[in-house]
Amino acid sequence: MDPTRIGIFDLAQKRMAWAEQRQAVLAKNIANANTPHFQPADVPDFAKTLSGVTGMGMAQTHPTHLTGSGASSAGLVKPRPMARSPDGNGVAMDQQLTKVADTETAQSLTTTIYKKYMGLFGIALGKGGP
Amino acid sequence: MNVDLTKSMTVSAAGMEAQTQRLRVIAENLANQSTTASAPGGDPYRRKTITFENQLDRASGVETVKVKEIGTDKGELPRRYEPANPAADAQGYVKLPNVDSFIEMMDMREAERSYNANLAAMQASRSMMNRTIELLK
Repeated sequence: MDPTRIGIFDLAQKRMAWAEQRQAVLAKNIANANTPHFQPADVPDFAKTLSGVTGMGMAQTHPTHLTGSGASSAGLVKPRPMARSPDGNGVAMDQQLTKVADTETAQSLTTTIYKKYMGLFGIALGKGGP
Repeated sequence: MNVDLTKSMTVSAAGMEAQTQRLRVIAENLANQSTTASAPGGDPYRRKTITFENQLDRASGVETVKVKEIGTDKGELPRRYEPANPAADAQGYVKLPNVDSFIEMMDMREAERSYNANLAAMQASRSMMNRTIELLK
């Protein structure tokens, strides 16, 4: 059984990867909250990621091909900053922290669904329900 | 997958490190806010400034924050008439450090807030990682 071929697991995996990437981008924004001329970035919506609109990575025609390190940062969006401090920094801390909380909730939801669904397989296989 | 949560934590840790250095500079400034020269007419302590920059950490391949430079504030030094002071010049004026404790306090608050924000981001990364590990159980 390959779990990635089952719709919900594939979706959950993509959602978790998205949350992970977003968390990395937000951590960078927060770490640079006092860096002059730094502009915060964000990853595109999950819906956009899912529909493949942001697939900027190199195409792989062979499984041993390299993906290229720029693939993850290529699809980032730079939203218009809400406020800019005198040193040209555009990071609004409250906004960034709200996004971190959002990402965390999304990831929590995904892992819970994943676990629940895995448990259903357990029931189907007769290993006792939750 | 190119990004993982350990890297987000590395970035947050770098942010905390940068804010710690900033606090150290602020502490130096506050401690030296009345340090005058020892020789007559000499320059007193000058306020130190700190600048950050976004830098690629080659070891881990992530963009973090680093201290760019610790410079000195070139602002004008205030003078006070105090002929008895050993640092007084021929006219009896002493140059005082250009440290303003209100500015330093403000900077200190900002450094504290930024540190807390980095800590919050790190805690979020950590709990996300824990939940992913929970999937194995």
